[in-house]
This record gives sequence, C-alpha cells and structure tokens, in this order.
Amino acid sequence: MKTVLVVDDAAFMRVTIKNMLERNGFSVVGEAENGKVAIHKFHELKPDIVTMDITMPEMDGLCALKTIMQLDASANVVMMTAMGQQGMVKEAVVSGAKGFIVKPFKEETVLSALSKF
Amino acid sequence: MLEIYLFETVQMVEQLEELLIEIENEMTLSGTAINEIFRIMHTIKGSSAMMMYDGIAHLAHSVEDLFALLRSDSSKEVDCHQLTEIVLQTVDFIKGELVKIEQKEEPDGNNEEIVHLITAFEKQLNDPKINIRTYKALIYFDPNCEMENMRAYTVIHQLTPVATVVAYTPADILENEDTTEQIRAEGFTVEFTSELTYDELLLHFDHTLFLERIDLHEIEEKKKAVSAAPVSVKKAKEETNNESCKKTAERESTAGDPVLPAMEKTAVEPVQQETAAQPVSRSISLDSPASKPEQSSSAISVGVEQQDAKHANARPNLISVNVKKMDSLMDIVGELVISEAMVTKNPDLEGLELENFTKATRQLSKLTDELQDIVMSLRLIPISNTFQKMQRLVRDMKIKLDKEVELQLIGEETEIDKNIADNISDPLMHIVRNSLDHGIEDKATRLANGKSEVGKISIEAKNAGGDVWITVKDDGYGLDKSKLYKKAKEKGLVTKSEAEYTEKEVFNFIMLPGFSTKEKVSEFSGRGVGMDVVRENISKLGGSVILDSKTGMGTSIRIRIPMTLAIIDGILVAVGDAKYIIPTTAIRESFRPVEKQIIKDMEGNEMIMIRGECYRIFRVHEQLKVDTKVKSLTEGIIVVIEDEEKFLCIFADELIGKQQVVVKPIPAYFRKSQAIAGCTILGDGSISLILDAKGLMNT
Repeated sequence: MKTVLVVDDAAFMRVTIKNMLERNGFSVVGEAENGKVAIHKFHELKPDIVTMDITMPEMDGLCALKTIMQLDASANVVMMTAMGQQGMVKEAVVSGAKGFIVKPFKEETVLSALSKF
Repeated sequence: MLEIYLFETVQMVEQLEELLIEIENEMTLSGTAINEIFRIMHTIKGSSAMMMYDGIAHLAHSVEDLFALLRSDSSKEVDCHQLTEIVLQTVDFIKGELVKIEQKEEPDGNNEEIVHLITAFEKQLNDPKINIRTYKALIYFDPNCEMENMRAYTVIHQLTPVATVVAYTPADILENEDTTEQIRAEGFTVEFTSELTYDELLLHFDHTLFLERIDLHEIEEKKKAVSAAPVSVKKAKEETNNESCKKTAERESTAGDPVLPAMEKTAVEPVQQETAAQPVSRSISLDSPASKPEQSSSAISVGVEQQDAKHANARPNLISVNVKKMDSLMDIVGELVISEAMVTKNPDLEGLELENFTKATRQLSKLTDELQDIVMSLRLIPISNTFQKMQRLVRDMKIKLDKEVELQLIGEETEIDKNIADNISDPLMHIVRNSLDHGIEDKATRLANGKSEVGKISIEAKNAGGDVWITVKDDGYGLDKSKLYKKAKEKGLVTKSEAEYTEKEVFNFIMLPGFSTKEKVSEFSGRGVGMDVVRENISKLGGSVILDSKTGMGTSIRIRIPMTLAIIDGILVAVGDAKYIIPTTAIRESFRPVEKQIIKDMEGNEMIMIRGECYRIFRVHEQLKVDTKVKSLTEGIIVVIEDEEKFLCIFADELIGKQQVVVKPIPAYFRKSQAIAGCTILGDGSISLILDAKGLMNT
C-alpha cells in the first residue's frame, strides 16, 4: 500500500483528500498544515507520495518542495494548484515536482495522478 | 588578490567571447581554438576554485571536460552553433557571477541548467548516431486535467535528463495560455533525441501524470530535416544551419580519415605547448589537415608555428599594472612638470644670463615632455575591447529580434584613455541597442521601403585633435520629427509650436530625462534609462553627444570625448592678481573689443557683436569677485569659448600665454562653483583655477 503525506492549510481540504485516498487503497500516513510541518513530517515518515498545496502560511509549498527535493531527490511530490498559477507551476516543475493537480479536482483525477507512482 | 583574480578572469572571458563569435561566424572549429578554450577554462577553473567560487569552478570544469573530449578525438562531428551557444551561456554566467563578486555579493547563481546542457552535448558527441536516436512523440492528456500547456512543459522538463529536446509544437506553451486549447484538440508534439530505447522511453512517459495517450515514433536521421521543416520556419532554418555545419565536419573527417588521427596529433601538440608558453596568443584558424593531405605532418606543424609567431608579433607582450599605480605615476609626472616650470621660470633668475643653465633646462624640458607623453600613452588602450562587446550584443539581439544586421567596426585600433574606455561602453551599448531595437526595421518593412533586407550599423572611432570621436550610424528608420514633437508635447517638454522648432531641436528632445518614444518597453532597450543617461555619462567624461537623423534614412550619433582628462592645454589669462586657465579646446578666438561692438540690452546686460551675432559677456572679475583695475571692456581682452554650439565671451585683463597644466580636482571642502573645473599649480608655485566651458554656459 502506498503511503501519502497530505499538505494543505485548509483542514477541510486535507480531510477531503484523505477520504478520497483511503477509499481507494492509499494509506494517508500524515497531514501537515504548512511547509515547515511538511518538511518535518516528510523526514519522519518517508512517505511514497506527497500532495502539496502551493499557497500556505509560514512556508509555502514551493519552498517546502525545494527542501524536500534536497532531502530526497527521488521524492514524489505532486502539487495542488488553483487555475492560473502558471508561474508557480513552472517553478514547481523546474524544482522537481512530479506533476500537478488543478483545484477543484474530482476523485478520479486525483486517483489517476497518484496511481502513476 | 581578489583584484587580480577579477582582472584576469574578466580578460579571459572576454577573449573567450571573441573567439566564440569568430568560430560561429566561420562555422569551423579549429584545433587551436579548442586548445585555447580548453586552456582558458582550465585557468578559470583553477583560480576560481582557489578563491572558493565553486559555482564558477564547477561550470568551468564541465566546459573544460567537454573541450578535453573534443581535443582528444577530433574526428567527432561538432555542431558549431550549438557548441558556441553553450559556451556563450557559460560566458554569461561567469560574467554575471563576476559582477556579483565585484559588488561584494555572494556569487550564488545556479549553473545546473548549463551544466546539464553541457553533459547532454557531451553525450551526443560520445554516442554517435548508432546509439542516439531521434524520436517524435504525439501526446494527448486526460481531458479533465486542465492547464495543458503546463502539462506539456512538465513533459519537456522531465525529458531533459534523458533526452535532448529538438523541437515541440505548439512552441509557445509558456508564453501563450491559448495553447491549452490547441493541445487539447491536436495533442502536443515533441521531437527529441535520446540514447534510450523505444521501450525505455515508453516507461519514462508512463510516469507522466494525466498522460492519456502517446504515439511514439523513431525517425531516421536523414529524414530529420524534412520532418522538422513544418514545425516552424525558424526552427527549420536553424536545422539547416546545423545540418550544413555537420556536413562540413563530416566531409572533413571522412576525407582525411586514414591519415587523420596521426597527423592531427602531431599538428596539434606543438600548438598546445606554444599556447601554454604564450598566454596572449589568439586563435589561428588551423586549416584542417584533411584539406591538404599531400603535405607531410611536419610541414603542417611548421606552418602553424610560423603563423603563431606572426601572431605573437601582432600582439606584443603585456604586463598588467594596477590602475592606482598608474594614477600615482601620472600624479608624480604632473608634479614634475610643475617643478620643472618652477625651476626654469624661477623669479630669482630674472635678468640673469645663464648660458649653461639655459642649455640644461632645455634638455630637462625635452625629457619631461617625453616622459609626459609616455605616461599618457601608458594609459591608452585600443578601443577594440569595447567594440568587441558590441559584436556580442548585436549577435544576441539579431537572434532575439529576428533582424538581419551587419555590424561594421572602423578604427578599432584607436587608442583611448583607460578611464574613458571603462565608462564609454555602457552608453555605447545603449546606443547600439537603440539602433537595433528601434532604428533598424524588421525585414519586411525594410524590403517594402526599398532597402536591403540586411540592416547596417557602423561604429567608428577616430582621433581628431585632442579628442576621440565615436560615431554610431545605422540605416534604419531614423527619427520622426512630428512623432517626437507629439510625444514631447504629451510630456510637457515643449515651449513653442511645432513649426517653430527646427528638426534638430526636436531630435534633441530624446536626450531629455524621461523621454522615450517606443510605446512598448522591450527586453533590450527602453528599460527606463534613455538617451538622457547616455548624455549624462558622456558629459561626466567631459564629452558631448551630437545627434543627426534623417527620417527613413537612418540615424547617426556622434560622441566627442577629450582624449585624456588629466593634463590639458590651456591659455593663461590674468584678472587682477589672479590667473585663470581656459582649456584651449573650448577657445574659438580672442580679441580686444572696440567701443562700437559693445551693446546693452534693455535690462543693461552687456553683449558683444561679432560678425553680426550677439554674444553674452562673462566678466570674470565680477562673477568670481576678483579685484582688478581693468574694468572697461576696451582695455581688456575677450576670449570666445564654445561648448555644444553655444558661445560665451569671457572678459579678462590680459592674455599671459599658452600652458600645459595638470588638472587637480578642487578639494571637496570648498564650495563648488559651476564655473570652475579644477585647479592647477603654476610655475611660480601659485594656484590657478581652470574655467569650465560647459559650466560657464549655465552661469
């Protein structure tokens, strides 16, 4: 079973993603509400996949992504982005994100993306 | 230590740039050039590592490796265009880092992208076509995935570690969000070369998120140019360039094949030793041995030696000296000139007849004159370095703007003061940028206007009198009087109606602060600084800018700069007890006026009439508050000075004579007067103020 770390500042979003994933055979091993916590949890839990929101307080998703890629160059990080954040997406891709999912998303979209890992 | 590092590295990088542009122009890569680039990179790597600038050292190391590879096996086919592009990017990176270091910042640039390009290029070289295959993939994404353009970008980005992307359609995925629709409808096509097999590639694409369908084809090398053609015109053109370059390389390598390896070795080795011993020698284009297979290998290497020796003569041995030392030498020579005058014109000697003394002083004068000349010439460097920068600029802009431009450099050997050379390149770059961006029209417009498709820009430098003239001329659109007037009016810069302005006056508007006619700010020119900054920079050097333009025909901008700033020729005039120096370059004439020439306007301002023109009078004794007995204009002398076509009459008691003086700045703790440019010490030890022609115009 693939392990997932869900990073998003909105608790509602975290729960939504968690439910979606756990219904479909993923194990959500941790949640984080900002980039800083995400880095800690990543280090501690070594999840197979990270879903990463971009805009968050304290430390944003891009920053966290870069640190995580330094910790583990093979990390599978998927960004969660709103429509139109083209610049951020580009930076994320350059920084090593495996891909991105556009919000709002449907269950099958998320599953189709995460099933690649 | 840091200073030497910066100096050397900057010099090497410039040399490298020159070499690369040469390679690109001739589309051949000579053995000497490879050695030279290898050597430069090796040196930069070594010294950068010493200074702990790891970013630069690392990058230099990669390039060095690449050229080591090229050197070890000259039979490889090299894509000159791609190669120069990569090395030029390296050059830019290093330059950027050096600027940071100079400004005491951390050189923290990210070189990964370039290193990546280099490794990809190396791979391509290492694995001839047998392993590297060209593929074309047509990709469709999941219909619900959104932002297809960024998905496509992700594909490209993730391909780079395993493949070299040649082209993709649509090409403007990053800039144009409308491509999303296009990709949704027609899919995303990408063409790339990779050493991976078909199956490995499919596996790679399998990891791409939201990839719905992929059609992957292997294209045979020969069809490459054809299949790439419809992608876009520009790409296809590049392709053919590459192709032709490859072909020449191919021809060379196959023609001389059996003899080549051995010959190449013997021919290359001596050159390598020589370059090591003679660091300033430049590249000589070493004819490929394949082109003269009948000659023996020793004959070739002798030929190279001769060429090299010739080159060494053309570029004499150089030593680099700290500018501060030069400045203090200049100062001392200045003092020496003053002391000499103090001795030879000593008041104690007045009335004495000293034959031997006079002889001795004459000899002394001759030597100090010579010394002064040599010291001045030490500071002079040829302007070619500055010109070289323009060549790079034009090359880059040509590609970006898709304009054809021929750059002509005239008078590269003209020598100018180091100080001026350092300060002239920014204004000059700005002017050239303007010419290319705003002046030269695009190809279609040029053809429609009956001009040749290729635009012309010439930069000319020459010495005239004590001045250096630099002229930048283009055959572009020129300036448009009514357009400029309209713009100036919007900015509130006009005081008269359009008809009352002469063309020249209107053109000169562009040199006013905050004036820019181009609506859209483009990447190269119009970054908020305009011709006003150019003018300001030039006048800081004591020079002036003259602008000429003919609508539809082109623009010429002439810059006049005094050759050197430290020692000037001047005319000494007396006012009461004080003596003033007026720079000879500013003086037009001097005379004693007669009563009928003097007129007064309604407010009582004195004017003088010379050949039907009225000129303002500047009474030194009044303006600079000096006591003198000579108050009537007819008893004194009038000196007419000119600056940028403005005239002024200076009124002084009498002319004393001509004198060469060393300009010293006025210490900061004195209040600065606009009329005074500096001061100097005269032969009798007294201090004389130097009048500033430019400043006087504004009094």
